[in-house]
Amino acid sequence: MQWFNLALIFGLLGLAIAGSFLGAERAKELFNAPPLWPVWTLLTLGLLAGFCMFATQMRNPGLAALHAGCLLILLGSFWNSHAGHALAARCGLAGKIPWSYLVLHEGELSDLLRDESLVQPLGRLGFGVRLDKFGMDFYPQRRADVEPEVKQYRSSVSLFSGTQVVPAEVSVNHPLHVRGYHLYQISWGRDPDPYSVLLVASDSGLTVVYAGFVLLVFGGAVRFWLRRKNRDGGGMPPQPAATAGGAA
Amino acid sequence: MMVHATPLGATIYTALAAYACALVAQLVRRPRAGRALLAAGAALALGALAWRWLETGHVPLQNLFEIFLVMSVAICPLAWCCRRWLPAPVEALDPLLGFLVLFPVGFVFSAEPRDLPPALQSFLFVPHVAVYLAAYLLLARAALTAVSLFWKRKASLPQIGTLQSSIFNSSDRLARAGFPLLTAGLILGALWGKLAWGDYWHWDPKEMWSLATWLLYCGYFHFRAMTGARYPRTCAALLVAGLAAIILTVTIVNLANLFSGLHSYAK
Repeated sequence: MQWFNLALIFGLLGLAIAGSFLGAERAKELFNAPPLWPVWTLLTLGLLAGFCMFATQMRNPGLAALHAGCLLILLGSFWNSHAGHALAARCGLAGKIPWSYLVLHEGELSDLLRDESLVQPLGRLGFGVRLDKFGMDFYPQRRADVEPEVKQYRSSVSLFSGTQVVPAEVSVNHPLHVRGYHLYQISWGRDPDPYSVLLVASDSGLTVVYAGFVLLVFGGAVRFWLRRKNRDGGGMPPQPAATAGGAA
Repeated sequence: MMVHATPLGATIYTALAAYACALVAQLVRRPRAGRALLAAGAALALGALAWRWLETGHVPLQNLFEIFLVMSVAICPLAWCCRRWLPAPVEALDPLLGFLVLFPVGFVFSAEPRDLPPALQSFLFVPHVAVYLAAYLLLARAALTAVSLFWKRKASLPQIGTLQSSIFNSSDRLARAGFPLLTAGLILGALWGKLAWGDYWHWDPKEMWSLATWLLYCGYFHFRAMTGARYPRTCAALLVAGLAAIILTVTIVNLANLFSGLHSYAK
């Protein structure tokens, strides 16, 4: 079982390296493709089996947290994926759109979600967003022959939900979180009036993924940083300081 | 290959010379002189870093020139920690690592100051990069320590109580110190990616190599847990492979057009 787990880790390593040569778009397609679902299932089952088969080792809180963290990240990622959203919709749960875009001209109110082409409609957001103003901040010019660089892109919006109108701002690194969706400042353009493109991402499964992150960090610190009486994985007790003046 | 003919460049080259002298001093068994020269080199690199900070107006962690300069300063506290906590510090490795880190700052990377693009203006910018740099330094030191185990020595099973065993334990201890930081760096990056780009995982080449590096160290710790100290060569090979993956992740992925992606601004 241990060797199987090791083989699984190095198999994933190979996949990650292969994915790096594909570019983000194709790598995302590859890792979400049905032929790879058995790998994710195997990994999930392997982590679950680890808790049963290595129950003694898993009493170590650090080790248990590390593996539970990986498990939660896998489960949360599935929930957050297109396949997870499709499954939730099929089961009659919230039919959210996992990833879409809102294109808004200044003064325009819309709730129409579009795909990556920004043309094809995907559905409705469930509340209206009006772009009040789109703007950019610039750095002071460093040199006369170089254009000043952009410091920030920001969209001032109003959110319409029923009779309520809530003003808000979306800028890079400062998304809005509204009713199960995150809204991001992702692009802009002119045709000829300025328009802003907001990315709309579903937050399903995020809490589970974040819980996995917390467990991973906690587990890593406990497992590798805290001193234990019987350090495993080497069988050699710490040695008294030895002097080694040179590289060898 | 480029030369920075500026006061900043001169400071960097002097620091580089100090690290080279520190290495020589350690090799000829003059540890005190080696430590003093290492500290002098780090002080000069710190001066260069402060200069750079004033010049750019932001924490100098944006591009390869700046992050390698920061790492070259961090060598000095790392060396102190190694002396303090490792059973066999192999002190010559500190100036060697310092020299290897500072060399590309002086001769390879562009020193053109740049403003921070909007995506980099986040409270996670400094912790994400700083945690990663600390992890990389510790894991690089772990790999060099593991290699030193076999330098001029016949590879054999490290026996308890020998210098070999102490070096073997030292490399493992460094890897154990670095791995949680590597994990934290990956996770801070994921959190930042969620805030800036909408998703905590973008399948970007840099992210894929970071994951590959993390998985390599996962493999190392699983292998160590399974086999103990029976295969020191394999353990050393895994640590060296980890260092190779780090070098690829930090430099080649950013510089090579083959891997263009969201992290391309960090050239």
